[in-house]
Amino acid sequence: MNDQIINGDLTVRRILMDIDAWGTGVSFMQSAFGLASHLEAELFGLFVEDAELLQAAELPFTREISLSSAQYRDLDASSIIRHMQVEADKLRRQMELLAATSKINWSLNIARGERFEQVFEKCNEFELIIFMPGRKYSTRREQGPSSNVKAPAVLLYKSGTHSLRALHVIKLLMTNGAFSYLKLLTLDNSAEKKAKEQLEKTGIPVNYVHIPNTEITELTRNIMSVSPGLIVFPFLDEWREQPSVIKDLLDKLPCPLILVR
Amino acid sequence: MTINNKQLALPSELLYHKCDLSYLKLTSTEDLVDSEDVIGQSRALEALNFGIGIRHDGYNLYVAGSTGMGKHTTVNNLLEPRAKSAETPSDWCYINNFDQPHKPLALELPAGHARQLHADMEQLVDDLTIAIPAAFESDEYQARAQEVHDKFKKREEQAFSDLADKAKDKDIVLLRTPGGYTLGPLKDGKILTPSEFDVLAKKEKDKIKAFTDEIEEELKSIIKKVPIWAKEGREKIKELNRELTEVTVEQFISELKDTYQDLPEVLKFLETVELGIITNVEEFRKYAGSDKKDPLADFDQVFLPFQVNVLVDNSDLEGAPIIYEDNPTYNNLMGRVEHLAQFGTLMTDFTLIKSGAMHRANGGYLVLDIRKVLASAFAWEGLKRALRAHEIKIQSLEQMLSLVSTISLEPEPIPIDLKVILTGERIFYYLLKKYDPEFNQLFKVMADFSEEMDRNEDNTAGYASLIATLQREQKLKAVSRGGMERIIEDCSRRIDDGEKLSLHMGNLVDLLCEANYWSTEENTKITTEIHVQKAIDSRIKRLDQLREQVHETVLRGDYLLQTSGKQVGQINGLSVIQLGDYAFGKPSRITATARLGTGKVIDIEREVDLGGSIHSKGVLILSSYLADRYAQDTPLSLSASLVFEQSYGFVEGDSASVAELCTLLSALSKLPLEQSMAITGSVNQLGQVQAIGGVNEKIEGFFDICHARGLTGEQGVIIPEANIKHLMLRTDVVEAVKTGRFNIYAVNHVDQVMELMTGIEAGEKDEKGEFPVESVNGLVQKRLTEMTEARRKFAKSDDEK
Repeated sequence: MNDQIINGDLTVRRILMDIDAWGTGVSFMQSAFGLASHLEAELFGLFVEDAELLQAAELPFTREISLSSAQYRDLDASSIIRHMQVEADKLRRQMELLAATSKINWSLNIARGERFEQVFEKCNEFELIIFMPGRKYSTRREQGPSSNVKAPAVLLYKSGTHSLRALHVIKLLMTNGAFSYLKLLTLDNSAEKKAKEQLEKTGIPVNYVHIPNTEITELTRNIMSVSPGLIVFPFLDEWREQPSVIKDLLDKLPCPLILVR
Repeated sequence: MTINNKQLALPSELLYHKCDLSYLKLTSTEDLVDSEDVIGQSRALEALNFGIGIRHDGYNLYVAGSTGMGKHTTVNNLLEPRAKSAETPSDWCYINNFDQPHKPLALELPAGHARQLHADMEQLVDDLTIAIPAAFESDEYQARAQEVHDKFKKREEQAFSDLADKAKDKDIVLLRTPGGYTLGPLKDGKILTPSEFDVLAKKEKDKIKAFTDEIEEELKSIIKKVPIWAKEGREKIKELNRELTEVTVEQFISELKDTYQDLPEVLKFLETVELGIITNVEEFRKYAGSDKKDPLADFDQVFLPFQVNVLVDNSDLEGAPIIYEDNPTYNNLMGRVEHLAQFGTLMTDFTLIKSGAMHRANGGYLVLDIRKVLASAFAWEGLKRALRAHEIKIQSLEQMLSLVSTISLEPEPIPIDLKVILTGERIFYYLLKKYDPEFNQLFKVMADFSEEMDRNEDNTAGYASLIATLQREQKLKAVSRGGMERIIEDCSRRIDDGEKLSLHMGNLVDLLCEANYWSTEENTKITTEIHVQKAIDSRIKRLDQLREQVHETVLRGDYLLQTSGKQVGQINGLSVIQLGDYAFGKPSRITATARLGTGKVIDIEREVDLGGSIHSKGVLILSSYLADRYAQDTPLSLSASLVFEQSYGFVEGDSASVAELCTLLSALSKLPLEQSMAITGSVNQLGQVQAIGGVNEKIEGFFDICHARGLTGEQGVIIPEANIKHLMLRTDVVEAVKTGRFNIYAVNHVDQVMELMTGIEAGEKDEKGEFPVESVNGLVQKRLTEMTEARRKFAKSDDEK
């Protein structure tokens, strides 16, 4: 895979889609299938059963507080497992339906553990990792922008093949007019210049923004200032050592994040 | 002593009142100008002008006259110029009542504005279905809506996040579950397993439990707040939507407000519409770009409250309306609320309110046929109610009669100011006058159309002009002078009066058209008297079958009728059979028998309920005549019976009373009566002969029988002298009289009849009060005296016993 990158091959062959056990939106999955179809890549859905929750459910005093009634309910591990299985089946059916129209290779894998860790463990095998928006404490099941306004997309562009592939992906995603404009974050003029070369004939409206660094606070500030519909980041080297940075970022994001390797 | 009463015979000149238009010096209708006047109806015209002109309460009109008198044309001709010069009345619409939708509001607009407002409102809806969604799709709105959304979302997430942080400080983690949240104790950043928890000291466990309870309570409190925050968020969005809609709608509404600035009611309506749109803005967003024709889109229903139902559109009207409602049912007069079946349910709304004739005639005139109004259930009551209340309230009959209990519309009543003109026969006027007290208050003017007018030179000239006018109106060929004369003569004949002219326009037009047809058949350029006569003859021929059958029964001897010889107690009476607008004369044998009795004359028809009261009256009169003339000092000691032989139908009228009297006198005097003669006329107690109706048909009826059997010169008909002026006999009858083959006698006293029928002098009373012995009256008196004597003898013999 690295060879391909080195050789400037921007092909995306495998996509990993992170699926939230508590409600991955159909629209989100549709987008993922659309992207996979566009890139002629294989889509790999990962459904992670929350091990922490199962562990907590086994404790004697643990109970659930209902979101709809604010009442206490007994919580046991078996009912959670049953529920997760139902959710997984539901997801599989949805994916089958979507695959029928997009004609791509796909699979759904179920794992147990900590969600982010499970995804991160597998990310080396994929060029693209699509994360559901974090919103850990949201009461709404369907994620993403609430209005039908076209939101912008945000791209972090640095030099390197990962960034080039990210640019390639965002170009594909923006050609159907799904986003109002592209907010392109760069660290320096040379990166901006390179990006401009790639984008100049695409007709994509771009807002170039220089950022001083790629620290999580800086990235979050720039993302939240525009309420984006999609974020595409190249997988930065520094994140390889500190994956929790990505986890913190995901908890704050209002929309899907695509990490490009 | 025999006498010759030939001096009573009428000369042929008196048998037909010929029309001579030579004094007008014309050859055809082309020499005449159109008649603008309504001839012979001055009384009716005066009443009409008064009734139409007066604008006070209750001065509606009743135009009385037979069908075909030209009432509608006359009324219309009078109304048109008056209506044209009048002010064009307002348009009326129904609009939605946003407060009470089942009570639509009436909206009055200057003529021509209703249609415009209707179009404007349609355009407004069209515009807003584009403009409102566009406004909501604008970046500005989307950004603001997103901002509100995010704000409330963030608030919610922040609350959970803060709680999660707080929990973490106490080594507790907040976890999502399928239906909510739960909490789990941490140790070194990991959730405790059950075995790890079990080995904890009780104090530690209690501590964890206490923390968990505390966080749970807070979590519960946050969850409870979530719907409140969501509601607040929706309210904020609603407020934002309202603000945006107000701005968008105002642009369009203000344009309309400028257009209708002089019409405060419309401005008021526009304000309610503006509010309605703001309240229902979601519908405009929902139906953005939807196909209006798509039934599933239900477009019309959604935007219905903003429509205008034009009830009365006077935009094309110049002046006041004149409405003639040919089918004046309750609904057609008062308007109705229609319904649409939708999925098995009847639905209605204010756009389904339909106007009635009263709405359309508001501010003008409504012409109705009273017969049709009375024949339509509740139409008369509805009409009166509206006139009395000065407003039209649309209420369905089903509701009025409590036949349906569903909620329907109650449209706001519309005030009315109109004049109703009823047309119809006199009988309805008098019946309504007698039996409907409200009629007097609501229809104060009667315009009575004359059926006939005098046939003097002026009127005849006017009639000729009328013929010319009708001929041109009907686009017929010109009528020659002879043709006109013949038409005028026929108009006299139709009403059986040589000195009068019928004013029945319908019949006149029919005759003109039919004569024109025959003229066309013969390919002539002008319609002449020949064509007119052919039209008359062919009309009679078409209707003549029954007459032929009746006469055939006489000629074949099935019905006994002598037209020669003499008979005692037998006479030829004359009656008329009326079939629709055709009548013919039928001779009838009347016989009488007399015997000793107590002075009673039996009317056999009456005894078997085949005689009408007028006929019986005639019989009673002749009893009185007998008693008065022949038995003033002695009892009338006879019993007599009178009968119409072979009559199996109802007999009415007194026109045979002279004939019945003569038969009775013949029976008493034993003098035979001429059977070649027939007689018609009524008699009074003094023996005077009085005029009767249908004289022409009666003469012609007897003439036809005689003619068929062969005219002898002895045959004839005796008529009352007062009927001479009514004579308009057929040409063949006149010709027969002229050549001495038939006779018509005019008499004024029964004595003259007896002299004609017996050939014997009637006889006058002498100084002693006695009639000459050999006279008719002498013989009658003698017979009655004998009867009295015989009765006295019977009475004496009875006493002796």
